[in-house]
Amino acid sequence: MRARPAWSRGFASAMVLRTSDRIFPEDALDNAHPCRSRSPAMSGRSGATLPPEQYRLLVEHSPTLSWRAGADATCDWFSPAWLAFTGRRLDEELGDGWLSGVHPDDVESCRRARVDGFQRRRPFERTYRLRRHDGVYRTVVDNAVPFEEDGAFAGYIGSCLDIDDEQRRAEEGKSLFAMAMAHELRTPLTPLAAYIHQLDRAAATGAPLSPVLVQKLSAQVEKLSRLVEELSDGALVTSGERLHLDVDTVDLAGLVTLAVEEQRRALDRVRGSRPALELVLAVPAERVVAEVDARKLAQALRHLLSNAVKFSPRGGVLQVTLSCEPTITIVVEDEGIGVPTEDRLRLGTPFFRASNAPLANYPGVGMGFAMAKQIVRSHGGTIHVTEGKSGGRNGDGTRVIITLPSSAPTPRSKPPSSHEPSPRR
Amino acid sequence: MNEARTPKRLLVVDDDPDVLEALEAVLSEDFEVATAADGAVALEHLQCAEVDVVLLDMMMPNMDGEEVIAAMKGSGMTIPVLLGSAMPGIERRARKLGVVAITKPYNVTNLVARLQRLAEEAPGAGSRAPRESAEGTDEEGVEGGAPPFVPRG
Repeated sequence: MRARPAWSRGFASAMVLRTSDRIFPEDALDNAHPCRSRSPAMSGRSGATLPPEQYRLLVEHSPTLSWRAGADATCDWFSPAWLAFTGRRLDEELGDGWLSGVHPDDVESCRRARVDGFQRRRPFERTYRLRRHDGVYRTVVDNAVPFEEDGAFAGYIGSCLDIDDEQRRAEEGKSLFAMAMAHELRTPLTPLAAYIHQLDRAAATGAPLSPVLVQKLSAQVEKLSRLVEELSDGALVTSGERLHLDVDTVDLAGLVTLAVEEQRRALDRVRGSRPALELVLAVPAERVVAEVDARKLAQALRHLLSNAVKFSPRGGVLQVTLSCEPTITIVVEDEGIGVPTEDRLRLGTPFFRASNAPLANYPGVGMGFAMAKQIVRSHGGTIHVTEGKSGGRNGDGTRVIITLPSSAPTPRSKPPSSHEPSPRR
Repeated sequence: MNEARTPKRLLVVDDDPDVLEALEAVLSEDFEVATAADGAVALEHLQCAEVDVVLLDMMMPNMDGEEVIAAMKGSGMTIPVLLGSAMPGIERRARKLGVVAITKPYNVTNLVARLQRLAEEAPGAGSRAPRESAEGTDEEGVEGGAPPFVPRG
């Protein structure tokens, strides 16, 4: 059974429609179906009512494919959208006529769902393929709710939505995600396999165990663990769970500096073998104290910095600025390919990839920015994306601006040498 | 493997610094290794240095493996390429490009053997003199069964 789409939840949870909840007023229904007369009484749950003309418009212009069946389970009304979809006349659809448009393999399950529903007089849902006017079968989710007249069960009203496009998008997304994930997991496995091969050779020749090699192996295992952790964090974010924070009093100047230095070391390792990226750090001389989860915030910065590097394929300048006036702000700005304006709002959606960053050139599962956003927001902060410096080498560039809830900066008694005043290169 | 022979010159191209570092370390036991973390840098290296075989990552920003192969073809380079990737389905892409493929994580023994074979069978193999004419050779026992990329000059 497919998971029920979000749009249908509220609808199917309505147990029984009563005459007081009537969807269609008499005259609207008179225009739309030939079979039933209705009392003019009409009031919504909240007491608000719609004039009959508006109900008629709702029915006639709703894209939802709707139907109604009487207490005897035979259909006695179909909405204009249904008829337009199937390309058939009302008299062809009435009774069980509509079943001729259902895919032969789905007819039996369709009938069964209806019989079960009518016996239990509870809302039911069924998914089946319905033939469109052009002969193409489309998958629809059909939600049916019982209704009453004069206190007695009088039949069902159902509404269907075409979910083929949604399903296809979801399938494509899943497949893209699995490809990206396979790539991400295999990448640290490559150095792991190489170092194990070296260990093996060393063991065969009786050479002593190299601590450097072991360190490198550990680093790759750490990378894999981090990847798995990000994946499970991503699953949490997707399911709407809040991130757990271990909050402590932290000097953000130190935290930002460490994150930038870590990135600088990674860049140094490929110096000369890729276009140069200049890393510029600007932090205030005094401590910038805040109540944060240092590990999580460092993780957020790591995501943003590695994104900035990844999306600056032709090099340029990557500037990281921490300031505390008037609020604590961290800006990560690059001269990379930028984020198309239309993609910026969706950037924080887990597993989303910007349209100008094809998987073929930019590996990744689309969790980096989503995680950074989640981490910043769970600290009560904000994060947003604008264009970076103009005239970048790769495109529009990206500027990510993070604000965090303020704490008064306190003077640093003895500034560590790595935290001298800005700017630093 | 003939240990006494001059090691073949290998260019490893991969945008992941960890992968590059590890491959350089492990392949240096069998090859004279140069590295490039970017397609454009790889091409520059190929223009000015002698290389017997290239281990080329498919997915790279700026210039991916496919573009590097196209640029190599365009400038008449005859150096065999082993196209590597962590992406599923690389063999099919490689066949279209007329090169052979290997999937990450690489089995080092297999990787070394395949690179050796490509380097040995390459035109001009065994000498450090600049290559003259390109003669294609058929690669046996490799994934995809396609011959390595040896454009006719």
